[in-house]
Amino acid sequence: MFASCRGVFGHMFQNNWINGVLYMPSFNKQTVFNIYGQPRYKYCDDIIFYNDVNNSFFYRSSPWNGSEFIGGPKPVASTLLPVNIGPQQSDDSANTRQILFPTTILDMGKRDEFIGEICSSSEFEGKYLGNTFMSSSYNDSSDILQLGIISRLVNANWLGQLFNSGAGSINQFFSRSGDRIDGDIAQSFSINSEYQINPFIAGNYADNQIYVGEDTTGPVFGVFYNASGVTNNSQYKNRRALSPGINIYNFTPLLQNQYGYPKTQEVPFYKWLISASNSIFGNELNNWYTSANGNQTGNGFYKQKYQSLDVIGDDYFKTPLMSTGFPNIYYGFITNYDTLGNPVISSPVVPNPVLVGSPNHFYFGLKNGKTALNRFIKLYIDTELE
Amino acid sequence: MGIDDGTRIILGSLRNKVSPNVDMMSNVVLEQTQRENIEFDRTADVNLQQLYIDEREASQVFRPTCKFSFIFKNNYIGSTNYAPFKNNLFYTNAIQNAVSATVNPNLPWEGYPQYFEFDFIRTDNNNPGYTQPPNNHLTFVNKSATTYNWTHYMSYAYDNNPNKQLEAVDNKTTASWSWVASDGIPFIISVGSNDSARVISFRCVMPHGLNVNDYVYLSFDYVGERLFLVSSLGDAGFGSEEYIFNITNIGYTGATFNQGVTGTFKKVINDANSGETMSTYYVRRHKILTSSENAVLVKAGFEQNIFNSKSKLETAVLTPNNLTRTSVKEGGQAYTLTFNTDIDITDLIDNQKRPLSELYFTTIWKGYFGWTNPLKEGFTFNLPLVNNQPSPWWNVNNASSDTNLPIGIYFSQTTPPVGPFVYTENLQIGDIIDGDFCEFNSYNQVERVVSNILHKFTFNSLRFNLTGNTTSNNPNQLGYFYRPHKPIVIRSFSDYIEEGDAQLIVGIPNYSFYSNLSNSFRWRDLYDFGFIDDLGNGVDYPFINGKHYPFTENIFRLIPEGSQIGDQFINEIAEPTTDECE
Repeated sequence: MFASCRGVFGHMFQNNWINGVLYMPSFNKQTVFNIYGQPRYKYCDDIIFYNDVNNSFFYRSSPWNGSEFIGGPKPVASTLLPVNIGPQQSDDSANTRQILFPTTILDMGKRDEFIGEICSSSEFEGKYLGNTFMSSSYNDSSDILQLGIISRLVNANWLGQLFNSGAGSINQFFSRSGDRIDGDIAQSFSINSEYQINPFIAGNYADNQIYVGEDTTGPVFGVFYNASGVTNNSQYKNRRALSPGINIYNFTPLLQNQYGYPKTQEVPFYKWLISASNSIFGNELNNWYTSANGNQTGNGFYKQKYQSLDVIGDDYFKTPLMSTGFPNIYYGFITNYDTLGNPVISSPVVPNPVLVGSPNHFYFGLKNGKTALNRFIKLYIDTELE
Repeated sequence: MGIDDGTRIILGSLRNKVSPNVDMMSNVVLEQTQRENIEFDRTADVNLQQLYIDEREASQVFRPTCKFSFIFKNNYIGSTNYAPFKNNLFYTNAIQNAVSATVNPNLPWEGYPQYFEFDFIRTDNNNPGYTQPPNNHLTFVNKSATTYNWTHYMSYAYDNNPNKQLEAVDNKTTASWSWVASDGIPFIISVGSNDSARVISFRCVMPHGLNVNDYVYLSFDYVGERLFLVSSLGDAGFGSEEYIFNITNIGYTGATFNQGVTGTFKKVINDANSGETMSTYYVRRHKILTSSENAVLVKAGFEQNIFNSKSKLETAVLTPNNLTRTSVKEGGQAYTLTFNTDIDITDLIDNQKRPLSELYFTTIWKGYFGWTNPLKEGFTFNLPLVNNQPSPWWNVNNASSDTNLPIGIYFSQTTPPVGPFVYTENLQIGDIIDGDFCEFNSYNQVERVVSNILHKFTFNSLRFNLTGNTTSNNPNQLGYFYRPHKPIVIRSFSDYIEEGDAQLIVGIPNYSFYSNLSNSFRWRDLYDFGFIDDLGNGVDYPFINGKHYPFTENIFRLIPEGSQIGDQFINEIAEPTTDECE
């Protein structure tokens, strides 16, 4: 507990897509000249590519073999170095294959809510989402961490390990290699900070929507997340509008219009592997699935057009209970309800590994009032009161 | 050659009162009948300005043009399950309709008929299932784009119908009148002798046209007397002077002038000769001068009216035929109307037997697409709602409000055919239709429009049932109305009255009125073309190639019934407070 109070739990974002403003990292190069005075450049060609046709540097995206995203090799320390210095081939804390740094464009929808009324064109058919974006989709995760800790405290087996392990007991929160936090906690953090989700704060979830249990690997906890759905500006409708571009008018019967994003690009995704368990939440060993056979065909990473991602058609978390209507609707994150709206702990998860998060994470900057979204609002949206 | 001794030659004025003195002697003037040719002279000087004036004055041929700003508020929501109509609405409850349609696709959908159902020019010429096969309502003929909804004509006031049956309802008291036009203007006594006020107030449902010190000739008498002096106008209400006149309450007894008494009156200018100075009342009748094919209606460039057009995208899933389209509720295009034929008025006289001074652009709702019932006609005073419902005048069973416009019917091209759909047939040259309710006073030679004629159409409830209709075939629905006749002044009468003795003045026009009161002829002069007096009377239109090209700008309003501010609101707006500060 002391360690947690001292901030031993740090957060980082990895292995997933995040929507924000494109950041172009600087790089160093060295320019040398041959005897004819022609320049040659020395730079890190793992991430930079020089095109001598137009004399420009390009950032590399993601390894591509012409038809598939095959990823790059795992970084491994040189064999010239002593053993255990630097990343090793056997170290599973590093991704098996590296998607590296692809970027794409996210269409955030119409700039003005009324543009569709001025231009009666299908081009502006989409739902207005501008008022749903914030500088970040991050939601406070302290309650989740607290819950994760409690879930470990109430587990006798884990307590035994705690007392038997002495000062090293904090390591029990980091069961995955590379000192990464337990998978069940990590996935809850991730879901909690998705766009348009009902965040885990006091009052949002009832007791029966919180799962604390264990399996053979140890204690497990999970939250049966949800997103509001019935109202016109509901979270679920906004998520469906963001991707794959569907306007939902009615749930039962389902009336929806898929306007889509025709110019969205195809990009690769890592998946999340939910370990076999007695609950839908897997266990502490849930981990990224980083082999380049995301389609389970060995033909490269799972790929899809970024804003065509569809919680129904794509490899998001699903159970047989889910349908296209509330309350057991296809949410696209790890949760499970029956037709009466009661959480269901155990259910087959098909497929597995699953797509998580994308494209529902947003980050425009850190400083309040000075984020890229704030700058956009200041520049393009008239916020002055008349 | 000589004169019989028995023959006496006397002045014409000595023969009878109105005979003029004429010159009995023929003056023979010396006149040059031949002209000497001047060698090498091949030109003659001509005063072009005078020639232009002469030709212009002599010409009686017109090519009128007008610009229409079409202002329309699409106001009525209805429902239909007739597929060609249902698939082309501006939907107002699409989600609920779509949900219901998943259970029963034959249920009606709700919305507004789109703007092109009312526009002067239809542009929906390529709409499968509606204006083009398959299974369409009818097949659009592009040439007819300007005549599907409306037809346009030139007309003139041809004569008068004093026997037109009229009806009105006072929406304040629900008192009603049924009278013929020649009876004059109806009133109800709003402040009666039993109210012990200084004046007796008569409230009319249309502008009475009276001035203080005029007389009114009532439809009933008080101790044999029907003529009463107008002592004042109006009451405390703003604008009430147009609708209320008062006579002094000198202590009338009995119930003759009690509050609530109704009747009609006629205006009299001079009680010394009430017969001659009494106004006559009638409904004008117009004669059509052109055919619908003569009308040339085009868009007025890029001109739009000041109101924004309103349109929206109908998403496929929220339409009954699952097609994405844009629907338009209201538009703003302006149009110009001219005619491809000359209007020669040489042999035409107006309803007062005078030379024509006005022509009329006559616009008639055709409604060929069959959304509406046959037209009804009425007057401005028929507009106010009675108990929030249209006046009984507009009831389809009231023959008095029927027009004499020809009606056509057809069945749709759908399978199976649906119908009948009714529409107004094109008018022909020489057809006669009703015009405004007017007053004419021979003494001062002034015609006043008391109340404009209006045409009203309602929706065919079998095909488009208005939301709120309690029955499927409501005989007295809310509808749209418009003024069919828009005048254009082609010559102006003077603002003064000429008066003269026929013995002393030459050139008294044949339309002059002989007044026994003043023992003289009275008339108003026709101004020359190009002359405009200090009051702005007169015309100065382009004249070229022997034709006048008069033009005007009109606002053509298609108004939903019940939305207008009618006469019922007078007396309810207090006059602005004025004090010494003002």
